[in-house]
Amino acid sequence: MLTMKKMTLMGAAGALWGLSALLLSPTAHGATYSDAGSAVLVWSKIVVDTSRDTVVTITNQANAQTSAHCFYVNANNRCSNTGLPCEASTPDCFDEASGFTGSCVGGWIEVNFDVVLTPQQPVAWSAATGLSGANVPCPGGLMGGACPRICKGGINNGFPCNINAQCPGGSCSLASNAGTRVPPVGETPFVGELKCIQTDPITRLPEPCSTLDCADDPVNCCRADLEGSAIITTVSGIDGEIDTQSYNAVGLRPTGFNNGDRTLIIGGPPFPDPDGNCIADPNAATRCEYQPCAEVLVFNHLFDDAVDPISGFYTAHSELSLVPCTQDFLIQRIPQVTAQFLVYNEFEQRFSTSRPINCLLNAPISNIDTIQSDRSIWNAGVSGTVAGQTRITGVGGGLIGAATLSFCAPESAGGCDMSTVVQPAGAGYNLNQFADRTLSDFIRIP
Amino acid sequence: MVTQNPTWGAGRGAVLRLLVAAAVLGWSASAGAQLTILADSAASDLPAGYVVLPKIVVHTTGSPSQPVQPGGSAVDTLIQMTNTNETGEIDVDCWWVNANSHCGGCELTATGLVCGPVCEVNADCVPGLLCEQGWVTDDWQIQLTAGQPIAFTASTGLGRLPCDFIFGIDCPGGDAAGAIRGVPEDPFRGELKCVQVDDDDDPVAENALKMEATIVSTIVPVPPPGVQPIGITTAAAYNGIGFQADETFTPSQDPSDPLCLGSLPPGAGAGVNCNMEYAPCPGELKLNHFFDGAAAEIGGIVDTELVLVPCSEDLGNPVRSAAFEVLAQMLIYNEYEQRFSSHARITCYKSTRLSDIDTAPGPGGDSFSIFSVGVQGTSTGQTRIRGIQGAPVGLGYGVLGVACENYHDTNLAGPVLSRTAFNLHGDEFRPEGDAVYLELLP
Amino acid sequence: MSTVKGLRAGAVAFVLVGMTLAAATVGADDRFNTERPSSVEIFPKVVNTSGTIIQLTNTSNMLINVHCFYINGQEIGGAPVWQVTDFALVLTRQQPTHWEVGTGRPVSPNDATTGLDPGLIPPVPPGFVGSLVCVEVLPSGEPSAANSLIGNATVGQVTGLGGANGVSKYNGIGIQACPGNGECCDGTMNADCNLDTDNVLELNDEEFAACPGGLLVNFAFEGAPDAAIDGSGNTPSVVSTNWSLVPCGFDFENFIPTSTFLTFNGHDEFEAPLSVSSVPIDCYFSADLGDPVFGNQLTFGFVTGSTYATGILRPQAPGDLPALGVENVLRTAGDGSSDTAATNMHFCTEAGSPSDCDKVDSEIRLPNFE
Repeated sequence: MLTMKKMTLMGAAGALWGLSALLLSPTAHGATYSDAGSAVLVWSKIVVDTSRDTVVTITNQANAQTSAHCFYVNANNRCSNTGLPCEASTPDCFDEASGFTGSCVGGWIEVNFDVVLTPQQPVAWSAATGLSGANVPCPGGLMGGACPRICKGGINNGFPCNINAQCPGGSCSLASNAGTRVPPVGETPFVGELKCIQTDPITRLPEPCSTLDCADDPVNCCRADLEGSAIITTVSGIDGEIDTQSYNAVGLRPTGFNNGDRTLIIGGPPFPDPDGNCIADPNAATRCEYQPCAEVLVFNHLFDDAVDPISGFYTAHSELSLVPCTQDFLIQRIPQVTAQFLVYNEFEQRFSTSRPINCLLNAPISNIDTIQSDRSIWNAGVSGTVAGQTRITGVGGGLIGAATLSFCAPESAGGCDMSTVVQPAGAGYNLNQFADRTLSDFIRIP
Repeated sequence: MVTQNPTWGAGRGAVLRLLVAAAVLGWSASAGAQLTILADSAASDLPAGYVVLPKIVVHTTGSPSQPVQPGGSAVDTLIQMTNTNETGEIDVDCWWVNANSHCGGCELTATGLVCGPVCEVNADCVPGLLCEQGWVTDDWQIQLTAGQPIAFTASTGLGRLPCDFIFGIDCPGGDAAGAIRGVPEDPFRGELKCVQVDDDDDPVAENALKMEATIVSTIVPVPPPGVQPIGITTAAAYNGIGFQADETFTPSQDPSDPLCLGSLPPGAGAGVNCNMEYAPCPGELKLNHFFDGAAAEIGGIVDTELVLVPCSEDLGNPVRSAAFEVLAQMLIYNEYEQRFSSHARITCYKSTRLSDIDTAPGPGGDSFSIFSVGVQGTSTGQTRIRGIQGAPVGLGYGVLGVACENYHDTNLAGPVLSRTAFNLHGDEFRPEGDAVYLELLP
Repeated sequence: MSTVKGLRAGAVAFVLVGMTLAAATVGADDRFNTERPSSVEIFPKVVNTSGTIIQLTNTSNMLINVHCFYINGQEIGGAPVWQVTDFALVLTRQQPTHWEVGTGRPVSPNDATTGLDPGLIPPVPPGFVGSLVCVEVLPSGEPSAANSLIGNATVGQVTGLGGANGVSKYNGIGIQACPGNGECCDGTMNADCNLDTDNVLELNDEEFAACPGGLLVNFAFEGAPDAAIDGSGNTPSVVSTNWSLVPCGFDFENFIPTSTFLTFNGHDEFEAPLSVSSVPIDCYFSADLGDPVFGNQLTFGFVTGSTYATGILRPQAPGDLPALGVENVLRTAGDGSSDTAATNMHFCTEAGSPSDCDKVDSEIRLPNFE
C-alpha cells in the first residue's frame, strides 16, 4: 500500500534524482541560471486544472525596491472552429450546431501584469487565483505598518531608510507593493508559462545600464535581483493527498549593457573573433543585453514505465517543459523552434528525433515523438534501460526548460493511467545545460 | 536516323556519341575532381554508403489505436541489412520517416503530440477534418560487425543486436552495438533511410551497406470457435536504393552540411559545403507496368501502387521537409507507342495507385484514368517519371521510387491474392544535384 | 535522315552534356546492372510450370531490333537439355511490349493481345524452366551498343481465392555496351574499346561490360520462420528460398551449353561461418537452399540457430565463369497460404581479398549471321 511515508520517500527520491543529475553531470556551460539572481525569469511550466495548481514565488534579492513586468502565456490547445480548449479533435471539437469537427491546434494567448517588490521581499501567489491589490503583503499607506520604510524619490530611491534625512531629494515612507496585480490565469484547465522581466516601474521597460559593477556605479549598473520558483501542487485521491513538484525559474542575467528599448537581446555571435564576447559588438542596436541561452539542454531522466529502482513496483513518468528563448510579445508572433532530441540509454545506445515546438511544450516525454507511448523512444520498453539522458538542441532558436518526475502504481498491463492516479508522488527539477548559443535570441515586449 | 519531335532530348545512342565528343572538354576540365563511384547514379544492385527504402508499411494486431482484428489482414515489413565489409565494423545511422496521414493532422502542442486517427483520404475523417499528411523523423544508430547480416521487422525493431557484447554475446569479428527502435506508430507508412557513418556520426566515404525490404501481409487467425477466413498471405520484396559514396572525397565533418547526391544543389547558401558526396539521383525513372485493371496472363486482375519520394530531404528539420513539394512529370506509352502525359505532386512522400494519379482517389474514377487498361487499350505500358523544378533553394528535385503490383481475384474490388514489388529502372543522372540534410547536432 | 528538330535537339544535348560533365564529374561506368537501359537483358528465371510474363521496353527514340533466345535448362537424366529457341523482335520508339512465355505472342491484329505485335514469339514447351536472353542488334544482326532495353519478368500464378497464388517480379539483368570510340566501360580511354562488327559480344569492359566477379546474397535459412507472419499469430510460418542462376556467358553460335562452378562463403548473424565448396551450374541452376547441393549448410537449425545469413557466390576457380541470378523467396503461413517475392541479387564488385570479386571476361556468341 502506498503510504504517506512511501510517497514522501519517493518524492524525495525524485528530487534527489534531479539533484544528483545536476551534480554529477559533466561540466555544464550555458548562461541561464536557476540558482542566482537574474534580470529575466522564466517559469516554463504553469499548470492549473481540477486537481492541480501552481504556486509561483518571486523574490527581490536586492536591498532596494524593484519592479517586474510579467507575462502569462496561455498555451492551451484550442478548437479551430469553436476556440474552446481541447485535448483532441474528436470529440472535443465537435460542434453540434454545424455537425462539423474542428481541429485541435496549439494556441497562444498572452496577458501581462506588474509586480512591485519591496527590498528583500518574497511574494507568492496561486496561478489559479492570482494576487489582487488588496491581498498584497505591503499595500502601503495605513495598511502597511509591518512593512519596511524606503526612500521614495531622490538619489536613494528604493533603499531602506528610517528618517527623511536618509533620503536626500526624497522622503522616507512605508514600502509598498502598490502597482502589483496578478490576474488569475485565463481559464481552467490551463497550461502555459510565466515570464518576468526586471523593469522600470513607470516605463515597464528594462532600465538602461552600462556596467555590472553595482558597488561602484549603482545608478548605471545592470541589476539582476530576481529569483523565482514554482510549486506544482496536486491534490488527489480519496483522502486528498497532496503531492508537490517544485522547480526554480530559469534566469537570464545581464551582460553589462542595456539600451532600455523594447527588444531584449539575449546572447549573440562573439565579437570581434570566435573567442570574443557578444558584448563587444560595436553596434548598440544588436549588442547582447542578456547572457545567452544554452546551446544544449541536458535532461537526465528515467524512461517512462521504468520500474522505480527503490520500490521495485511503481513506474516512472516524466514530463518535459520547453519554451523558446525567443518570444515576440509585441506582434504576438508564435515562435516555432525545432527541438532536436538525442536520447541515450544506459547502454550508450542512441535514438533521436526532431519536433517543432509551437510556443510551448509541456508533455509526457513518451508523448513527444508518438501518440503511442509504448512505442516511444522515451519508453523503457523501447530503450531497454531504466535511466537515460536526453540532449535537446533548439534549431532556429534557443530553448529553456524544466522537468517533473512522477511515480505511480501501474494500473494495468498497458501502464500507468495518470488520469486515474490515486496517490502520485513526484518532483520537479531543472535541466542541465551545455555551451552557449552563438546566435542571438530576443524578447520583444509591447 | 534521328527521329522527328524527339522528347526529352535525343535518343540515347546519339547522346552517347555526343558524350564522347564532349568528354574531351568535360573531362579535361574536371580532371582534378574525378570520382570513384561505380554507379553513375543511384543503384539497387550495389552496396552503398547511403541507402533508401522508400516503402515501409506496418499495421499489426498490436496497434493501440486501430489494431487489426482477427480475420483481418496484418502487414509488416521485414528489413534485411548487411555490412558487406568483411574486414571491419561499420556504424549506421538510420531514420524512420513517418509519412502517416491523420484526420486533422498531427501537431506537437503544449500538452504533447495530438494526432487524429490515421487516414488515407478525407472520407475517412469526420466532417470538418481533412486527412493531412505528416512528415516526422526518428533516428537510431547501430554498429554491425564485419560482414554481419541482421534482419528485423519494422513493427518491433531489434532491441538486442546479435554480437552485441553487452548482452554477453561475443563474436570473433568484433562487436555489434546499438538498438533498432520499431516504427513510432502503428499503423505506419513511410520510409527508412540509412547512412554509413563514423563514431562521430559523420558520414564516411565507404560503401558497405546492403538492404532489402519485404512487405508481408497475412490473415490474422480467428480464435476458436470462430470461423477461419480463407487464408491469404502476400509478400513483396525490393532492394534498397543505394547511393555510392565517393571514396576519395574528404568530408567537411560539419553536421549542418548536407550529404550531396551528385553535387550541391543551387542556392544552398554561402558557407554550405558537402559533408559527403554520393552518386547523383537518377535523372529519370522508368516504370514498366501493367495498366490498372489489366488481366494478367498468369491470372488475376492487376493494379499498381507507386511510391515516390524526393531525393532531397531535410531530416533534421521536419517543418522544412513537410513543406517541400516536387512536381513529378510523367510520360506514359502504351504498346501502340501512343503517348500520354500527367503529373503528380510529391509532398515528402507519395503513395498512390496509378489510376489515382490523374483522377480522384478511390475506384470511382479509375475507368477514366490514363493509367487504366480501358483507356489505354493495351495491357502494359511504360511510364517515364522526372522531377521538375519546384524545390526550395538548397534542395534538389530528384525523385526515387518503388512499385508494387497487386493481383486481385476477379476484379479490382476483389481481395489481393498476391503482391509483387520491384525497383524502378533509372536513366541518366541529375546534374543539378540533390541534398540530404542530417543535422545531427551534438 | 536527320531532321532540323532532331539536329537542334542534338545540339542542345551536346551543350547540356558538356555542361553536365563539367559540373558533376561522375565517373561513367557502364556495367552489369538491374536498372539501366542496356543492350542485353537477361532473365535468369523463366518458367512454364506456373507462368512467366516478360515485359520488354525500348527506352530510346529510335526503332530497334532485338534478338532473343530462350534457353531450356531442364535436365533429363542429369544432363541439361540446353535447347535454345530464338526469335526476333522489332520495337518502335519507347514501345513497351509483353508476352507470356507459355502462350507466346502471334503477329495478328485480331488476337486478344492488343498493341503493336513486336514479332512472332513462340511459346515455350510445358514444364519449361530456364532463362531468356535478349540482345539488341542492328538490322543486319550485329550487336548494337545503343543500350535501349529495360525489362521485367513476372513469375508465378493466380488461380483464385483459396487456390495456389504466388507471383514475384524481378528486373532483367542488363549488360551495357561500352561507349566505344576508344572509351571503355570504366571511363578510361583505350584504342581497343570499340564495338566491332562480328557476332561476338565481348564482355570485357572494352565492348560490353565485364561480368561481375560475384553475387552478394542475403537470405533466411531454409525452413526458418518468418518474423512478420509470426507476429500476426498465423503460425507456424516457413520460409523457403530459391536461387536461379545462369553462367555469365552464352554460346548461341555453336550451341555449347555454358557451365561453371561456384563457391559460397558467408556467415550468419552471429558470424558463424558458412561454406559451400561447389555449386555446379550446367547452363541453368535452380534449387532451394535445402537442396543437397548446399549440404544442409543453409538449412535452419542444422549448423547454427540463427535465422538470417549473408554470403558471396563467386567462381570456384580461376577460369570459371561467375553467375547471374535471382532470389525467389516462398513464405508460407500457418494456415497454408503463401506467396513468393523475388529480388535481384546484388553484384559483388570488390576486387581483391577478402571478397575476391574480380571482374571476369566472358562472351555471348550470337548465331553467325553471315
